[in-house]
Amino acid sequence: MTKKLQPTVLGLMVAANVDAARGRRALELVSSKPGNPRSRTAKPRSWKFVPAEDILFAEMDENASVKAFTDDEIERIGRKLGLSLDELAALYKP
Amino acid sequence: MAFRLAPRLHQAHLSWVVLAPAARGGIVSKPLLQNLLLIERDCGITRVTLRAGLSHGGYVWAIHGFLPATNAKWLQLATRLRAKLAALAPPLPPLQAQAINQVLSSPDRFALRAVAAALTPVAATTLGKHLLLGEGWDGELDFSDQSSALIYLRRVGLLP
Repeated sequence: MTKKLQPTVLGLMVAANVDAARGRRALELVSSKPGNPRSRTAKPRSWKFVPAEDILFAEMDENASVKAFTDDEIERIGRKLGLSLDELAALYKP
Repeated sequence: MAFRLAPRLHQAHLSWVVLAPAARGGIVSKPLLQNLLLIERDCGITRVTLRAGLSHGGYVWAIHGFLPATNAKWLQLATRLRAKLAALAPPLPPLQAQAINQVLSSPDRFALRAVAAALTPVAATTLGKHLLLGEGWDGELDFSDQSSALIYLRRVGLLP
């Protein structure tokens, strides 16, 4: 027996791009539970997009402990640019 | 998402990507960028270009391994970053100021990474973010450059 696939955010986005009305209906389906009478009158979510850069930036802030580049990469670039060890430490290990 | 592929030139141009705000947390962005990479690989793409801009793009794409498309474009960006640095109040401590000025004086576009990675605290953020957020530059990711490829693969979650 094949399990019916659940909608995913990406799937819904594709649906919304193909047919905005269908996408809105899909969103209402996701936000409701079968048999819940309130769901039929639930207000559809607002459907707006943001640049992926905003999402990627927010995800970086959520993982603030993750360094932009590895220490090796920073040291390699620093040496290439002629930075001293003190300057490297001042900029990258405050 | 909108992108153009030019397989004969082994190039692609990423025009724009938008996501639903609920897509935060890596549940969409990483799979999206991973799948884009698969498409590019299958089409023999070795160089991806884009316009790093909007509010966060100037910083985000640098962190993803993109570089200014040419050294000349880097020098244009560095000139704007120096002006931003000069307007900092309070100014940076001497050692940090000397170091970042040296980075910004480099004619080598790889210096962008040294700017983006700068962790010196500035106005409740880091120096790298302060300088690059809100900036716009024409960028490229060259998969034939090992360091660029490794940075991108780590960022999109294909390497630890």
